[in-house]
Amino acid sequence: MKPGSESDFVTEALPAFISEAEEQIEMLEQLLLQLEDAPEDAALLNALFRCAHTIKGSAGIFGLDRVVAFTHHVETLLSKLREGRVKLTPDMSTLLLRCNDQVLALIAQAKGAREDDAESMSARGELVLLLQAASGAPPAAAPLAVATASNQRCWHVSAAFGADTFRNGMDPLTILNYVRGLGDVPRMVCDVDAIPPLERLDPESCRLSFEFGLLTEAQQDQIEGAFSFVRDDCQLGVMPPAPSAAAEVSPVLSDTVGVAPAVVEAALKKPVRTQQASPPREAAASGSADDQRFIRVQAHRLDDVINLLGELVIAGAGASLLARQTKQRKLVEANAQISRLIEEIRNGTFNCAWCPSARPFRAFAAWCATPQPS
Amino acid sequence: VGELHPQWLDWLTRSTQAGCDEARVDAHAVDQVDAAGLQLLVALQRSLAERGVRLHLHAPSATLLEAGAALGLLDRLGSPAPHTPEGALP
Repeated sequence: MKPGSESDFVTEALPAFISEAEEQIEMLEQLLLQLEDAPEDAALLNALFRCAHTIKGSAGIFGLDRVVAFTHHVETLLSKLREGRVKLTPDMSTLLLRCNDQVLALIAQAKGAREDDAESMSARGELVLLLQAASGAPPAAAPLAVATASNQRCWHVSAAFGADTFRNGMDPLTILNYVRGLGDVPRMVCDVDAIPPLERLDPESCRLSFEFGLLTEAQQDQIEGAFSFVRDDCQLGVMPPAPSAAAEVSPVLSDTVGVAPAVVEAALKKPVRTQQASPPREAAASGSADDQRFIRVQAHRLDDVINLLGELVIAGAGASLLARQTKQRKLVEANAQISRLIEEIRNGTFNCAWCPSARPFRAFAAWCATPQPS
Repeated sequence: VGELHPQWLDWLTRSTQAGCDEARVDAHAVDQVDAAGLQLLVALQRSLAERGVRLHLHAPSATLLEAGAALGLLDRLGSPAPHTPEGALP
């Protein structure tokens, strides 16, 4: 085959992926609408998950990393919905529909071989935080376990969001909700004095800054990671925990905010839910890449290869015959060697269970969707 | 928030002229709110306070309460009152 045929192949197969993905997204949308009437329908939730899983899987095959990375977060939430660990709310439906639009946009990027743009990146960032908040939030009714105090430590975090935060499409509320998901926030204090009265307020400038304690098992980089999308213009201070949680927060809150020590103590002593901190994003991404090592090939491409092999066998046989007629031993031997290799390729290839379906794409998608042993 | 700001300013001027000392904000229909919206609400509260007017959130929706709590703003925005007279915000 001629050099560069691999990229030709991707170019040729990409439209098939795109149309399939667009179908899946349409289906996802339909399912979400159906789920509005039956938010706990297991079959629908299952189908919803499979759609996202299929999109992620196919995108992985084509190396569309942005689609994979983003869809991974959608899939995480859908998997929790499917397992009944999270209940589908109308807000979540809206969020998932917005995510759908993002996936479509990403696929459109792939279609036009366009680079990522800042706007789309920040939109995705926000959605990812929302998705994580949605899937990370523990069920409200769950009994609160007493903290496994050994691992949970209390950090003091101060965050002054930059004036352009809103204009950049970021929402401090989303970020703080995500941080809350890392553990427990006994007390959140907003510096309201920094917010001017209505007459002097530029409504699109962010004037919000916060101080809070965070009881969590998460590490410093995980806490800071929550702010990664606003990092450039956010003054962030993450103070490492003191050995005792109460020792850390009490003076801070009492001194700076005037909270009575008793209040702080009461807040700290209330049961703290144990919660697994979200795994680092990198680990999740690499894990997802590992289970995507498949090659998806269009049927007609396979047919072409088989036809070519057939012709190669015939041409090889012809060459062998001519070589024998020349009675040159070395030429005959060389040709015999070539014939053996062709034979090997042919046998090897036909031994693979090639799917005769006209749409192996769909078959593969269904296969992807069935749970694989880990 | 870009659209709300002038509307609220206008309302602020009119209601202060009317001379009431308590402003009721009907917040039952808030189904989505972001930090920018809460910031605007705090700014309104500050402006009202400068005029000696108290802000009352009337029947705030769960969404608004949750967001307010998440940003540590509930105390500032006043405890929700079941009924308060005059000056309802459209």
